[in-house]
Amino acid sequence: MVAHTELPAQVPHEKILNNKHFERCNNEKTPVNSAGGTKGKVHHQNGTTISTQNGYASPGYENSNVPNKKKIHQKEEECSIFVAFFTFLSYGVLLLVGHIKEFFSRATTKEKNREDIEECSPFTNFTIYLSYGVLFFVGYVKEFFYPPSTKEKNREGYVPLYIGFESFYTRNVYRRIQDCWNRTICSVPGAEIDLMERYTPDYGWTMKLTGKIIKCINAGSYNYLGFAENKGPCHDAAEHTTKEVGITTSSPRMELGTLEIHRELEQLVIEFLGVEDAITFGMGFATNVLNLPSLLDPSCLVLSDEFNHASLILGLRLSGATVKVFRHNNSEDLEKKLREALICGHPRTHRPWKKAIIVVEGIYSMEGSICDLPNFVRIKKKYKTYLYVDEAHSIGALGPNGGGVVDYYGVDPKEVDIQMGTFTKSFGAAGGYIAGSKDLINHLRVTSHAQIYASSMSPPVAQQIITSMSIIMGKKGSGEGRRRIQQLSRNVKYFRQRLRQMGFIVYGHDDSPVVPMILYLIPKIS
Amino acid sequence: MSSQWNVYESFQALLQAGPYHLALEGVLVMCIIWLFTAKKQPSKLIRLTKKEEEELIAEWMPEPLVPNPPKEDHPALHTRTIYGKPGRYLDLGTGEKLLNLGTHSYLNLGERPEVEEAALECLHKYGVGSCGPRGFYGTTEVHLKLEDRLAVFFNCEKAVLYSYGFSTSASAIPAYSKSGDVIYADEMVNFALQRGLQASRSRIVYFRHNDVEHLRELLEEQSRLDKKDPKKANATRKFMVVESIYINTGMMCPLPELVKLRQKYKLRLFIDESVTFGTLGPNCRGITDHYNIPMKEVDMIMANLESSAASSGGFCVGTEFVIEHQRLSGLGYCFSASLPPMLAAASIKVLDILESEGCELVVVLQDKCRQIQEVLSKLSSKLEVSGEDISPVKHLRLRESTGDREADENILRKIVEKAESHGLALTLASYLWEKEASPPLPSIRITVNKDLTTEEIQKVGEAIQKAVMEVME
Amino acid sequence: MLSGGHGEVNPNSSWHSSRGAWLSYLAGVLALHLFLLSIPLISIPTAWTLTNVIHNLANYLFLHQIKGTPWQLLDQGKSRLMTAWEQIDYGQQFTTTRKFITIIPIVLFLLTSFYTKYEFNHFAINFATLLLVLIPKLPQFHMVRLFGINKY
Repeated sequence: MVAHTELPAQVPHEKILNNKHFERCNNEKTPVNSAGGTKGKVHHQNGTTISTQNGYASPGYENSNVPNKKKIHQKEEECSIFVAFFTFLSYGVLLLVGHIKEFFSRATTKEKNREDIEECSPFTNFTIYLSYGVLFFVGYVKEFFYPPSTKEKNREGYVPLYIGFESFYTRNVYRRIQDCWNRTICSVPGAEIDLMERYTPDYGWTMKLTGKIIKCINAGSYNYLGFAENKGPCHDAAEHTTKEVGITTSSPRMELGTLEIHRELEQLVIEFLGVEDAITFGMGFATNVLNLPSLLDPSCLVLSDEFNHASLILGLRLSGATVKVFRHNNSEDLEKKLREALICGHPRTHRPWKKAIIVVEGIYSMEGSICDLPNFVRIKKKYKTYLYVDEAHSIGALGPNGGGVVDYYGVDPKEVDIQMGTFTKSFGAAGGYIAGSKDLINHLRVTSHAQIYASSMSPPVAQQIITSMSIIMGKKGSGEGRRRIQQLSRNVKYFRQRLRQMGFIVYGHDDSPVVPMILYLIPKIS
Repeated sequence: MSSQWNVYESFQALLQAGPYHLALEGVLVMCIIWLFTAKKQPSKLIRLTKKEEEELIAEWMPEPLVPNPPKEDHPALHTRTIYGKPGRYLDLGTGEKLLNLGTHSYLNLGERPEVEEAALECLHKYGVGSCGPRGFYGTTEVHLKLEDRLAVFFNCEKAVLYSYGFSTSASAIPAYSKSGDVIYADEMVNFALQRGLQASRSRIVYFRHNDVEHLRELLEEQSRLDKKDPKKANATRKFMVVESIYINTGMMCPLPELVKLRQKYKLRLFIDESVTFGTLGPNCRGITDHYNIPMKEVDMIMANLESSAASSGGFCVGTEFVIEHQRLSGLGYCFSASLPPMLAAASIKVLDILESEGCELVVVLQDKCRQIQEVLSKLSSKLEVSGEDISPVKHLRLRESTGDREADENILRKIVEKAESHGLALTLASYLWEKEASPPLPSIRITVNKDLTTEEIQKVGEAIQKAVMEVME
Repeated sequence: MLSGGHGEVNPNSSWHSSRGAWLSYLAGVLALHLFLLSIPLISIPTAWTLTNVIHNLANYLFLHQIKGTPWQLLDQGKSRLMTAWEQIDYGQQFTTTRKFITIIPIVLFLLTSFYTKYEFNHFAINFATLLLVLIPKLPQFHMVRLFGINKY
C-alpha cells in the first residue's frame, strides 16, 4: 500500500558499522542520508537506527580498518504531548466515521451485477405516494358530489354491467394521462414515424384528432431490426406474394388452410433455430393461449416467472395446471419453490406430479431484463423438469446470429424443450411459432386449438417473415442481416450508457433492446 | 378558547383515572404485545430431513413431455397443401383444379382485384407489420377507419378490432363476465366461444341446441332462486351467448324469441356472427337485419373477418358503453400486436363492396345455398344434410352411425378423398373431441361459394354420390 | 385499467407494505392532527379526540367498507367481494402490515386518553371508535358479514 524504499542492496549492519567511511558520521552526531561526508545515524525505514562512523551509508565498501566501536543506542527525540494527542484524536475520528458510515451502508466490494436495480431516493418515494394520494382524494371528493353518470341506455332495471369502483383508477388517474397511449400513426413504423396529433376538448373523456401530423424519432415501436419497411426486398416479396397467392386462406391449417408458403416458412424456422421441427400460428398472443392447454393438464406443475406476459398467464390458467410463481429471474427462489412443490406433490391429493415445466421469457418487455438461461437450464437438468422459453422480444434481437436468448448464451437448442416466439417484433410481421422436438410438434399439429379452429397465417405476412428471416440468416441481402444485428447491439449499448450518464434510472440488462426509463411520478408523464 | 394544557396535570389525571380505564389500557397494551409475538399462520408442512428430501426428488420420474405422440400416419400430420391462389378452384397438387367447397370464402371476395389493390396500396404505405400493440404506436389510421366503417355498417356506435378471429370471442366474453356471473349459452357454440366462457370463470349453463323452451325453463328456475335472495340477484350479471348461424350445425338461432326472453329476464345478449357477416339479411347486415330487429336489442355482436371479409382478424360492435370497456380490459386487444394494416385496408374495401352491392350478393348466395341444399338432400340414403336452406355452411353426416366415432370419421375421410378424384375439394369438419363441451357428430362441412354455377352445383351432387358409392358399397 | 400480473395478481394486497407506505400513513395522521391543532377554536383534548375519531372512521371506511379494487384485475372478479383489509397479503393473517395497521389505532387511543386527561366523555367516544376499528380486524372476522350488510 505504501511505497517502500529499501537500501539498494541488503548490506548487513555490521558491514556498515565496520566501514571506515562511516566514522565521520558518528563523531558529529548528525543523521546522514546522502553523500555528504557527515557522520551520524542512518535511519532505516523499519525504524532501527544505526549509528555510523563514516559519512557514506552506501554499500560496496568492504575492507575496513576501523575498530569495532559499539555505539550506544541513543534515545530518539519525542514529539510533544500535544502532537501525540492530536495524532490519536485524528485516528479516532477517522475510525469512528468509518464505522458509522459502514453501519449504514455496507461497503460493496463485489462486482456490480449488470442488472442491479437502482432504488430511487426516499424523497421520490414520498412524492409518489403524495401524488397518488392527491389524485385519489380529489377523485373521491369529486365523485361524492358528482357521481359518475355513465348510465346505459335501454337497459333500465338491469344489473349494472360494470362495477363503478373498478374504473375509479381509469376515471381519475388514467384519464388525465391517457394521451400517452393509443396514439395514432400514419406512416410505416421505421426509424422515423408520423404521429397524428390529438387533443381533448373535455379533459380526457374523449380524444379527437386535430389533423396535424408530427414527425418523430421512433423509440416506441417494437421494430428492433428495422424490417418494418415499405421499400426494399421484404416489401417487394410481400407484394409479389399478395398477387400470386392472395391475402387470406379462410380455413384452418387442419382443413384446407395449408399453403406452400406455410411449409416453406416452417422449414426456414427449423433451420434458423437449429431445432428438429417447428409449427407456426397466425397470432403471437394466441400461440401461448391456445397451445399451453394442449401441453399441460391439471396434474402438471408449472413454475412461472413473476413478470410473465398476460398471454402466458391466460394460457396457464386455461390449461388448469398448478402454477407456482417465483421471483423474477431468481434461480435460487426457483430452486427452492421447485423443491418444495416436488416434495409435497399436488396440494390437494398429494400425488406426485406428472410433469413439471419452468416457464420464462427471453426478454421481459416491461422490465427489460434478460432471463438467466444457463442457470435455468442447470436447474432443469438437475430436477428433470422441462423448460419453456417465450422469445417474443428476444428472437432476432439478441445473439450473434439473431437466434434469441438461446443464441446469446450459447446454449444448445436441444436443452430448451419448448422454444416459442413471435414474428411481430424483429421480423416486422405478425404471428408466432413453437419449435422443439419432432414428437412435441407432431402432438401440437394434432391437438393445438389454433391448428384446428383458427385460420392460418396470411400469405403476405408469411412471406415477410421468410424474407426477413433469410436476410438475418445471411441467405439474402449479402451481409445486411449481420450488419443490422450489430448495429442494434451498438445502438443498445450507446443508448443505455448515455441515459445512465444523464442521470436517469434505467432498468434491465445492459444488452436488452427494451429500455425502461423510470419516471416515478405520474404528473411527469403527460 | 383553548385552555392551557399541562403535562403534570395529565399525569395527575392518570393517577386519578377510573380503574376501568386503566384496566382497559392494560388490556390494550397486552394486545400490542400479543400482536408483536403472533406468528403468521404456521405452515402445515411436516419438515423432512435433507436426506428424505433428496430421496424424494431423485425418485420422482416425470412422464415425457409428450406421453403419447401421435403416430406418423395420423391424418393431421398429412394435411393437404394448396398450391397457388386459393379461390373458387383449388390446386391440391393432384393435377387438375378442384372445386372448392371447404374454405369459408362465401362471397368469394378474395378473388376481386379491387380488394387486392387496396391491400397493395396499404402495403406501399405501411409495410406489412404494425410492430406494436394498439396502445404503443400500433394504431394506424387504417385501423381507426375500419372501426368507424364497421360501426356505421352495423348501425352501432363503436367497434373494436382484434388481430385474430379466435381471440375475438375468447377475449370479449371474459372482459364482461366474471366469477359470480351467469352465462346461458347454446350447447353447440363454437370452440372459440367455449374458450371465452371457460376463461371468464362464470357459471355456465348450456341449453339444448336452439331449444327456446329449455332456456325458458332454466331462466324461470333462476328467477325463482333470485326472488329468495334479491341482494345476490342484484349483484349477479346474466348473459346469453348464441351464434347467428352455428358453424357446428349450420342452423340459425331463433333470434326473435331470444330477444323476448332477454327482455323479460334481463339478460345481456352477445351474438357471434362469424358466418353471417355479409351473407344474411336483405341489406347484408347479418341476423338482426334478417329478422328486422333493432340493434338496441342486442348488446354486442362479435364476428371474424376471416370468412366473408377475405382478410384476417375479428371485431366486436355495440354501443359505446359496452365496447369501449374492451379497449382497456380485452386481453387480446391490449396485449397483442395490432392487425397488419394491409389486411385492415382489404377489409375496408370489402365493406365498400358490401355497402354498394351487398344486397345482390346476398340474394345470389342464398339462391346458391338453396340449390346446394336441394342437391345434397337428394343424395344417397347413407348421408343426411343438416343446416338451414339459406345457410352457407352445411354438414353432411352419416345417416346411420357405426357407433364408433373414429370409424365414422374414417368413412367420411375416405369419401372426401374419393371426392377429390372427382374434382371436388371437401373437408372433414375438424374438432378437438376431448375438449369440446358437447362434441358434434362427425361430418363433412360444405361451404357454399356465391360464384358457383348451376352446372357446378350439379357436378357437386354427382361427385359426392359417386364418392359415397365407392366408399360405402 | 387492467392491473396486476402473475406475481402480483392484486396490487391492493401489497401496496400497504411497500417502501414508504407506512411513513406516508404516519405522516398523514400527523398532518391531520397538526391541522386540527392549528384551528384556534378547538381545545387540545378535543383536537386529540377528533384526530382519533376521524382516523378511525377513515380506517373503517377505506379498509372495511369499500370492497373490490379501483382497477380491473386479471383474476376475473375474485376480489370483488373482499374488503381492502381482507385483500391485504391475500388473506394471510398476522403479517407485518396487518400488525402495523392494527397497532396504530391502539397507540393512538392510548395517546388520546393521556392527552384528554381520561375524561369519561372523551373515553366513551374514543373507545367506541376503537372497537369499530379493531373488531373487523380480528382473524375470526375474515369474510364475515354481519346481518348481510355489505355482502354484495
